[in-house]
Amino acid sequence: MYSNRISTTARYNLLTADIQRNEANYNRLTAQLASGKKITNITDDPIGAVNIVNTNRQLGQISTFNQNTQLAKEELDTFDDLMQLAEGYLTQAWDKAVQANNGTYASTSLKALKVEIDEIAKTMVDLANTEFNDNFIFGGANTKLTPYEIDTNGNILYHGTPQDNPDYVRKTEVADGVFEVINTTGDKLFGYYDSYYSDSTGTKYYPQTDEATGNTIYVDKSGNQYTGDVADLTAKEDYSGVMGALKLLSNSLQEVIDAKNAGDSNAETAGYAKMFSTLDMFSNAHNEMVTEQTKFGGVYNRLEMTESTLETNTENLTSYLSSLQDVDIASAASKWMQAQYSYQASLQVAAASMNMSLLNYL
Amino acid sequence: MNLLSSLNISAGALSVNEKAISVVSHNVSNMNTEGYHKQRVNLQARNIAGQIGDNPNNQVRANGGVKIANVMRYNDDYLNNYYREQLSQKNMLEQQLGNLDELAGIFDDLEGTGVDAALSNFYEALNNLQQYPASSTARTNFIEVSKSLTSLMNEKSVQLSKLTGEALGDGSSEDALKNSKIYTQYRELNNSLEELAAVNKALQTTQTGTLTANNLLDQRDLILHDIAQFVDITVDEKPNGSVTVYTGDQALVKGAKVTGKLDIETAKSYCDKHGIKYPDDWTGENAVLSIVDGDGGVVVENANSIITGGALGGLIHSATDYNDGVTNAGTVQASLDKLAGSIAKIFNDLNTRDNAYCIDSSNTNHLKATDSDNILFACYGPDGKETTTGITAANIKVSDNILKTDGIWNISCAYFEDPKYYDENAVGNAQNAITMLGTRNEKQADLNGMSVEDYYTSMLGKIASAGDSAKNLYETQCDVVDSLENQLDSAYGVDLNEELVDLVKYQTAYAAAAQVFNTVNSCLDTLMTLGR
Repeated sequence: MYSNRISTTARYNLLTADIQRNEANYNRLTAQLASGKKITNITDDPIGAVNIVNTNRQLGQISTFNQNTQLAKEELDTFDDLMQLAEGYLTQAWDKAVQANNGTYASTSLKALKVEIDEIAKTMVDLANTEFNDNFIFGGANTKLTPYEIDTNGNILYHGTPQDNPDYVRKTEVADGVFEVINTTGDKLFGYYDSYYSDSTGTKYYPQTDEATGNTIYVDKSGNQYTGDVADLTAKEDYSGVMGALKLLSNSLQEVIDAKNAGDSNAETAGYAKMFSTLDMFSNAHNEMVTEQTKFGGVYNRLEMTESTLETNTENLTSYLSSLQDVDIASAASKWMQAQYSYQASLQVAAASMNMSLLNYL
Repeated sequence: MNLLSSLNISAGALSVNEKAISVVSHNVSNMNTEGYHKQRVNLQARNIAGQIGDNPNNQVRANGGVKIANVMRYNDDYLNNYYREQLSQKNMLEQQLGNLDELAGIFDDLEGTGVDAALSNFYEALNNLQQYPASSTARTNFIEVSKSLTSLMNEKSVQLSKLTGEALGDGSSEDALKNSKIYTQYRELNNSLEELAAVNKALQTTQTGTLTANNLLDQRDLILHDIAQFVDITVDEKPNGSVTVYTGDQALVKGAKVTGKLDIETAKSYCDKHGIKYPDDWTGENAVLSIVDGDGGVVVENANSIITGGALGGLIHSATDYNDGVTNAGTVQASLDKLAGSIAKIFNDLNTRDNAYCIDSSNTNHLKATDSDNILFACYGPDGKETTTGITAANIKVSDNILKTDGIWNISCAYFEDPKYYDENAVGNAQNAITMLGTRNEKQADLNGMSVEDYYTSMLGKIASAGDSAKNLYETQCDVVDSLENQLDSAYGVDLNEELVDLVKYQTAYAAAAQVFNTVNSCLDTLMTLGR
């Protein structure tokens, strides 16, 4: 019996509900248009919201990788510049070695050559002690310790991580879990020269003049003096790379000069033989440098590729992010207009029909 | 003497129509009264008893005019019951949605200001640290970022507790309980129960015959709707119009007596009474509802599990982790605690592991072996000292070990896979920092096999989906309730047109009856002058 019945209250309530629904829709679309964001609360679109958070995180990661790549490239640029300089010095030294080896130079000329070689050695040491961003580039993992030192005995000592220690590496993350090694060790590039006295246990001792007595004493790295029989000590010489070659060349020049002055032709021949052997060493050192330079040239190229990949990813992700969270203005505006019309229509209809009743006609 | 009976009949008709008009007047007056049910006068022809036999005059004599059979109240009990059921459901969903909406507000990470962003910054700082393990700037930055991360987690945890506290109190403080939403609701419900008992009593003394006490019934139904907003009820109506109201099997109101009043106490007070160790052994809600009879005797000690519907049901279960996969403030708090504990464990373990080295603060160009006390994250234990056990989102902090002067050097960045390669000068060794950085994508067994950030995002996703689906459910339920309200309004609301038609109808009948009266009166006059 009630099926067709509608009460006045029900009619008012319906009208109010319709107006409210249209108003809510209109407000929602207005807010969207005003903010420019499709999703203002994570519950608006759970999947979209999670995607936005994930995408923002990825973008953050990419920006970190990008910074890492930039920084690594800068360091490798510096490395490359230093290598070119080093190769230049090496070539100079090599030329001097060739000149010295032709055997026609008088001792004064040889002396001049030796001075030049020693200068080159010092320059090479300075170069090998270059810092980048507060880190010694050629010290391996020992980034805060000056890698090369010329000690009082003229040894060119390397204090960085040795190349046979796998922990020498410094890495930078250029993609998720992908690390590029951006350093090498000084001893691999430049070598070293170490002349010392060794006892039966292999401990290295360096000669020093005792200030009190004026005698020669033998002291190890930690400052402990050798207490055994001096006759048991064996003189040893460890060397490699360009540092080794420079020092050997300088030593052999001194030997030849001394021999010439003393008129000792045997010693002179031995000196020249030593001098000659440095030519190969220079050549090998040069090869080593070029090889490393090429290797890091490859890393540099990879970094450039990474950079462009990162750039593409950033563009893709940014546009994805925009598609997730930004309102499509055209469609939002047209929806907004529609909502406005509906809202207006519901207001008009309500206003016109609210006071309709039999009362008006009695 | 038919003329006199006609006079009586039309006088009766005048009276009946007068009463009918008064009902119309009552209807029109109450057209906007909440819960008012339209009444209608049912008219009946009056029959005068007596044998009729074969005499048509007797037939005429049997006609006694009109009388009011009853005043009917428009109603639909089935619809009412269904409406109350749906209303309970709507109110329960409303509470759940409110809770989830606030949760979503707490974890609204879309602007990059949330825990997710803090985690990203944390890993970015680790990246920096990995590149410059010996740099005090990188180390200080890492510590600052870690501090932001922990304090953000603390803050989120506080917001969550506040959310739970607003709903159910904090579990121990009486004042917090009294300021909670559940307390207000419980009191309103108890008031409604008392009101219902009073109306029941009135009905028992009023509706004693076959006719209904329409206005009291209106009041009764309105109170029943109120009660249904708070709890899920079933209603059993007696012939006198009084009702027995049950939630589950428990009678709340029986006739004039409130047999199941609610009482509320804090979880702590409940635990103290029952010898449960609070909060360690308590897995329930922060507030405990109980049901007591009118004389203060306890009927149900812990009624939380039987109150599942309505606003109370929604609210009481809105903030506790039941481990049933439903997301609420309780589960989010648990997840966040797990996350905090996991982060602390991952980085503490790495920072203190064997062959890991931090930097010697007395000579920052040298490495120093780390030890088990060299932790990054900690919390204050009950004794006020730092500990690594029981770290939660609420209490996680960067360890004093790191925060103290020179503490920056205690971050272990170096690690030697093979101890024979250890070199105290190798401050540029960042193997441990690389491993720490690598945990960003590492799946953690204690985080359901997800990485730290994925675990957080998945939690966020759960909140978002739960909020979204609660919103949809609630909206649907609102539609159902709206449509039912509309049906109910239509079924028993006052329609002005109907009333105006009735008014004209009864007015006309009244005027006609008066006319009949006059006519009969003049007939009588004519009769009186006869034979003069």
